[in-house]
Amino acid sequence: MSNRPTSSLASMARERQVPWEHQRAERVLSTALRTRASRARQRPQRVAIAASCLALFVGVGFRFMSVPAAQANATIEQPAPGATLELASAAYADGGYARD
Amino acid sequence: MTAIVSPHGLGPGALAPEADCAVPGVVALFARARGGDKRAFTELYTAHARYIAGVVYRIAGNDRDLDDIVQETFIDAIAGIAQIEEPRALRAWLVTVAVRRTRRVLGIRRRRAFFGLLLRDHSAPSSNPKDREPVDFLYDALDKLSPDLRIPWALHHIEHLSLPETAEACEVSLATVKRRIVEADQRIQKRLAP
Repeated sequence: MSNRPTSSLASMARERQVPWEHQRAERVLSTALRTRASRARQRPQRVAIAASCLALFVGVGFRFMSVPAAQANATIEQPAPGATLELASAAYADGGYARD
Repeated sequence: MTAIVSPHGLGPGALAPEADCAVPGVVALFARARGGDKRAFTELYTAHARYIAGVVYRIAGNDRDLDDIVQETFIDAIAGIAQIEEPRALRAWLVTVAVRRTRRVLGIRRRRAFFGLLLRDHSAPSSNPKDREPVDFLYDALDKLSPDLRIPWALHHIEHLSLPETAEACEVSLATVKRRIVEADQRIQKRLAP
């Protein structure tokens, strides 16, 4: 533990030499410029990938949403009037009614 | 290029208004940097990188991630420079970007240390206690604080930024920054108490 007051330690921290020599600054700058150029080059690719993903997502979404819609719009074929009676009679004749 | 190097960039201190902003070339340089001019970017970097490196170094306490933070700060800066209306506000804004980056790095360090992946982050820089400088004890205490408490304390007490400048750099209200500094101060004093 240090017995010095906090303010004294803060002053010492302030007076420490920052390790930022010319060579280091140059290296960071060249890396920053390279990274910046690389990101600028990659930007159109990223936009294209994002657009493709969005289109795929929207396409898949429509596909799934369109299935229930198709089912909702589908019409159930209704038997003609009188057909139900004929079917019931046929089932009764077959003994199906009794079996059920 | 050297014409715009600010004398304020050479050491710690308050975010003094940059006298060199009065130079007409600075406004043109600023406009060129906004347009993506590589040379203008280099000149802005030359003018401010040392100051930003100092701020980051004094918050973090070591130079382990210094290069990465400064580099990312300037890349972020050039991408977002259009937000800045006044060249005079550039330095304060760069500090805000650097603080944001530093907070992220400190958060990662704490999480790694928590999971035991990088135990050295929270250990003494030197194995022999006699070789340690008094300021190492301060950074040991700061390492135990969350970045939200550590950064305002370091900016205010070490970097000597005013409270409004610290609040701006940390992107919080003045009341919040005051509360965090007081809380950090209490915890540091508790840890440094013999």
